[in-house]
Amino acid sequence: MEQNITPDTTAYLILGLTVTALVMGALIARIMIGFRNAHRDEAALKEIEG
Amino acid sequence: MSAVTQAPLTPTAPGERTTPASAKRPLLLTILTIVTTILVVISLYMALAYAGQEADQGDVQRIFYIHVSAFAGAFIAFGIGVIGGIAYLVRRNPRWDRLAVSGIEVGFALALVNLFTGMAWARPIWNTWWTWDPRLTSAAIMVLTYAAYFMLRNGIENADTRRRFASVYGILAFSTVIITFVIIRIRPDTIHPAVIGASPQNAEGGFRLAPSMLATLSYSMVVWSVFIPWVLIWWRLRLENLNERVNALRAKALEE
Repeated sequence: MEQNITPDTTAYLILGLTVTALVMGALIARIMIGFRNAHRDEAALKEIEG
Repeated sequence: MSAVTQAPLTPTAPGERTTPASAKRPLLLTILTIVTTILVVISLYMALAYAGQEADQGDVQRIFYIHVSAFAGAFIAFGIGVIGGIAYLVRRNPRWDRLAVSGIEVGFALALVNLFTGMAWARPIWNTWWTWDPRLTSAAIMVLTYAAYFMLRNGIENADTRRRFASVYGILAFSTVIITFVIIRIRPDTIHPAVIGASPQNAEGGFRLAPSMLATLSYSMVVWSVFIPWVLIWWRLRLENLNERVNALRAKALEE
């Protein structure tokens, strides 16, 4: 009788989840850093404007 | 030549600090961000715990809930890029260009997720990280086409020319998204399985969706194609608007 053994592919699932977290994390970090830099520049320019 | 936009500035008294109405974070965005975060956590729980394990592929099959949904999200986000591009060409209002670039940037991230999760799945199932299959090739072309969109934007200094060229490019680039979507349905030699609908005859790694799997996939599709693009594009658009204001302030400071 043929027995179907499910392969252990959990490592590849973890790899996929890690890559997903890295890509989406990079996008979110890019937006957050962009806000921080833009707010800093805005404050500096308003300071110059007096 | 500076690539800044001469947006009208709200006059302020010397030393006065004002925050434009558009700079205040809308309550809806805050709520949407919290709700989306909760929905993502639930979708991960469903993918990792609720959906049953596929007998032939093991746990790696669970990556499909992200892989398929991320492509759906990219489709929507790139579609918003098209809407923004067309609206800019018709109205010539920079706000549409800002919407287009926001949509395309979010779509690009989701397309990368789709590509990389597909590679992670392919290694144990196809025994290779990559093969020049029609679907994989078209997906790679799609990602590279949109990567070139950002290079195009960075390479044009004049703001109006940049917006016009980027709008046309963003509209044309969407053809790669459509090709990627339909190619497994028109090319019989692809080995890429179709999760929804009948797989091509040469498909390898296809699987049947049990009710718990179908429920998880449907839920993930909604989260990744509605909530995630919506909230990220909104945030990205706000950043683009803020940068526009800063550029206008910078231009004003340089004039004085």
